[in-house]
Amino acid sequence: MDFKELLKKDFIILDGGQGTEFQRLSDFSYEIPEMLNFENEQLVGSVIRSYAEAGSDIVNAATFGANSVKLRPFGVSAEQMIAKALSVAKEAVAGYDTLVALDVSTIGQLLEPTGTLSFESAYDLYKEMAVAGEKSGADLVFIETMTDLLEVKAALLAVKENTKLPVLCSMTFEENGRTFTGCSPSAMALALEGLSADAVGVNCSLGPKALLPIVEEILSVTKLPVIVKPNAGLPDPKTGSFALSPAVFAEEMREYARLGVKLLGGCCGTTPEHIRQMKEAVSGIVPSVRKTEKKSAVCTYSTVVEIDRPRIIGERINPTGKKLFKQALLENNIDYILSQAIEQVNAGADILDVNVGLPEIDEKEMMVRVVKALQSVTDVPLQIDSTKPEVIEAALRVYNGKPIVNSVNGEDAVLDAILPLIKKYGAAVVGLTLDSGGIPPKAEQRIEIAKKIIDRAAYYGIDKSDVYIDCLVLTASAEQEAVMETLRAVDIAANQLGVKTVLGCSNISFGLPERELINHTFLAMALARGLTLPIINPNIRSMMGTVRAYKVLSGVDKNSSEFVRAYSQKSAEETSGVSAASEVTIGYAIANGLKGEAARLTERLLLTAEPMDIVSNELIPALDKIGADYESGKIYLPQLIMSAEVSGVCFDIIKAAVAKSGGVQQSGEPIVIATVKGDIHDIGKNIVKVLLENYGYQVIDLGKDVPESEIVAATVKHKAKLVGLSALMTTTLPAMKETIAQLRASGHDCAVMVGGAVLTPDYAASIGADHYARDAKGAVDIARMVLGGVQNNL
Amino acid sequence: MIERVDIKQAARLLGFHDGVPDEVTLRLIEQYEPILADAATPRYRYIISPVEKCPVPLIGNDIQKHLENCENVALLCATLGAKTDTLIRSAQITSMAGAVVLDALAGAAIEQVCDKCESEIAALYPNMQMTYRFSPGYGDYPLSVQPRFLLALDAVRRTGISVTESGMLTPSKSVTAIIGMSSNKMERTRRGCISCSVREKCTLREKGEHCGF
Repeated sequence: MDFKELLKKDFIILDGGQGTEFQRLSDFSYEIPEMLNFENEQLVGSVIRSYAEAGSDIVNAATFGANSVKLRPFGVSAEQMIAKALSVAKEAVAGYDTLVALDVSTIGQLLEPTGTLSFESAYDLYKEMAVAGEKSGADLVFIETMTDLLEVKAALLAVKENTKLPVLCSMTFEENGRTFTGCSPSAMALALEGLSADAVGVNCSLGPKALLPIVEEILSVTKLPVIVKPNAGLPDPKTGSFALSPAVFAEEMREYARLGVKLLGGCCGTTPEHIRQMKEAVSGIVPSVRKTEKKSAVCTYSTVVEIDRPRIIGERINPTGKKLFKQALLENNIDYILSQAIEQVNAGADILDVNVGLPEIDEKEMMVRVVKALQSVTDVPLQIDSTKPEVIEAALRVYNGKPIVNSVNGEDAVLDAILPLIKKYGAAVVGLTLDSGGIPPKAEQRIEIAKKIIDRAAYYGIDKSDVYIDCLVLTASAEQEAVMETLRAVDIAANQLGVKTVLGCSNISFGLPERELINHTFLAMALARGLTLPIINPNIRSMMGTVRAYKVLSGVDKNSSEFVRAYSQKSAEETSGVSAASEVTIGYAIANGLKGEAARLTERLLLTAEPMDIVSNELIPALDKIGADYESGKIYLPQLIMSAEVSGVCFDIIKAAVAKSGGVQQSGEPIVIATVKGDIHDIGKNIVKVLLENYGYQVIDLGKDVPESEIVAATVKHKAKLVGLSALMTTTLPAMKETIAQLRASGHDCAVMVGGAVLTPDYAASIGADHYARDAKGAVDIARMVLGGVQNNL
Repeated sequence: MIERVDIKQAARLLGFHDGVPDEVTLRLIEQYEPILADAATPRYRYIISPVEKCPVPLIGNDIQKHLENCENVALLCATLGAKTDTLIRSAQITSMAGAVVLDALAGAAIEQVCDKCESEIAALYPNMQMTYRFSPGYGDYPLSVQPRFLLALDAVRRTGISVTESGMLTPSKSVTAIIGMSSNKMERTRRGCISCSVREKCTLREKGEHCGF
């Protein structure tokens, strides 16, 4: 018997709770039950055999936490543990027709960005386990009790890429229908089916009844076999014993059999008797035929975006024609890119296109950084935009969900390089209707290319619902007749080929005045022809408005509720009742956090005053007063930061004006700042950054959990005379000390200031720091002392 | 779900010793309080054990002193969940002032979750006196016990709390703590500065005064 054979049965019976059985049958108090494989082999073997006896088709070896990180304190390697556990399990089921699974769960540490474990390290840990499992004779791998979709992905890829074993994936959902990290059942199913899991489902946390809505959601989105392994109800808080008897558990599991759930078992509190009675209870039930329709959809780990109506792809994360964006890429300024993302999401983007291609940078490395960073602050699916297969693959690996790849075209070489990646990682793909002959003039010719792309995708196992066709927009001023050809092609693709369509809408107006007018009129025409995925700038009111209005007029936005919601809100500043009275000064606006007001005042002043005069006569005195008020306890941290943020807006406007008038922009003195290795609390460091920037310093922010060598390298590279280090925990102070030691050893002459909750001036001195910054204002004072006053960087 | 965050405590964490924020800060607190309350997915878990069988090592003088005359200990862990971290991260991109206020609100909220957990324990053991919550990192009680703490509570599986190599709990708004329990009469001591996240910078503490927390 192998797993493929098993799949022919109506139901595959899994095992029940292993850890709770160990506890029931012994008084073991090992910190990790895996150690029982060595210390009480009889107990482990008898529990596993009892499930085989009860009728389980698959039992788990006792390898739940057998990863190198968890085992480290016990002096056993993952390979040794897995070899032992599998030999115990296989011996236990000798004589039964039962498969043995390598059981795998979380490493026990959270992945980045909430934790410090990288995707790549998690992959390596799972690879070690998977390889050992196959070598020791596991029949399959069961990845279970997972809460982070990205960690499941690391484990699944590790098994798929390094063994030939089938893989079952199961996550644990709470009463609110989410895992601890926020993963939703449908996002899990969509992403894991794309990654070619052999079955998906749920285990642990709740009893059978409470899991029903979660399982129904999974059944509705995936064609894969589904797993359900509930607890025997909830544990009693005082005694810890589980509520459901074998008979009640078995009865409740019948519903899953009827719904077409194929893999049935139990988790905590279920005994061999629960499994035996469950098997009896479901035998003879005819599972209903699952009617899962393949839908076009993409997702993050928590949000599924179905392409069943116009969905906006934000185009702003792209350096083409954008000076500031290019500069941000060159300077590694990820925060700028993130601010572009959040702005678009707030404006209504459903999906974000991500293009970081620039000849001067390592596109692959930057793409991975940006994708990880975007996922740490936004919850919209991404469209990975690159022509390079190695960039695309690197992004697909670390993406947490199901993304879109932009793009392939009708050229064989491109299709055969990229479509296998789309299949392997389970993405959707944009197909451009052009090939080596360029963009064909006629709609029918473009449709021919579209068909070729769809056929080739099918050859690689990619469903038509995951291919989005781009019929390509040409500039109206240059090729006027081409406009209607594009629209005709959209019509045929959407309505005859039955695929979703994409169009980058902003180029249509190139070379014409009043571009916005052309853009949104074209957008409306395209939507009416069936365009589903317009790539636009969502920050432009008329473009967003056109999509929203179209959804009302086409009946997609039921009762116009989305439309009404979007246009019945006023901006916070409009409603806050602050008057735009003429006596308001920049100083007042800065002190009171009035960004819009401060911006208007700055622009007005620029008409009559020199930029540098505005800085020295208005902004700096305002900032100094705020700083003094903070020191004397008149104002507090939120107001200090808010004022800095408002003055930042003013600085940006002045800088833009200087740049426009051809002035040369100088950078202020560079200051390198970082939160030291091992430390992930970085809010304090980020406050320091905001304040320093507003005094004109060029802040090179290396982020959090930064290795010593990286800090030294950046300091030397930027010739920084001041370095700021932050640490919040006593456990990371040694890393701070080591960083200072390495900075000194480098021979580079710089001052070091340190700060963070557990630091004291004495301690700072003892680890070789030059300055102790009590708070963010203190850091600014140190910078002014070390590097000199306000930076004239205009 | 958190119904209402303790705004007074959030204001204290922002430096307003009397818990009364100024107008600008109050506006920010009122703006962000519902957002934090909505994002938080609080969870907690506890176990009770005789002191001598405590599965977490009781290293150092301070924890020993804390548990003097106690027969039992309650070990608890609590978290606001990963989404709170995402919220604070994303606020740092758009509004650092907002992020600082959210961070303080989250600090207040996690205390409320611990309070709730503590009252649940108190209700289960009405005849027991309880000490205040003592966490790894207080006094000389080392952070290195965190991994053992989480194992004892099966915290990864049951609450989603885990610990990094450097001993930090993740999600970041998470707490582990020990409460001493005794059937004898016990003087309930104040937790005070030992547990306060702003103790090193507190101007009141510098002057030898106390905010009353």
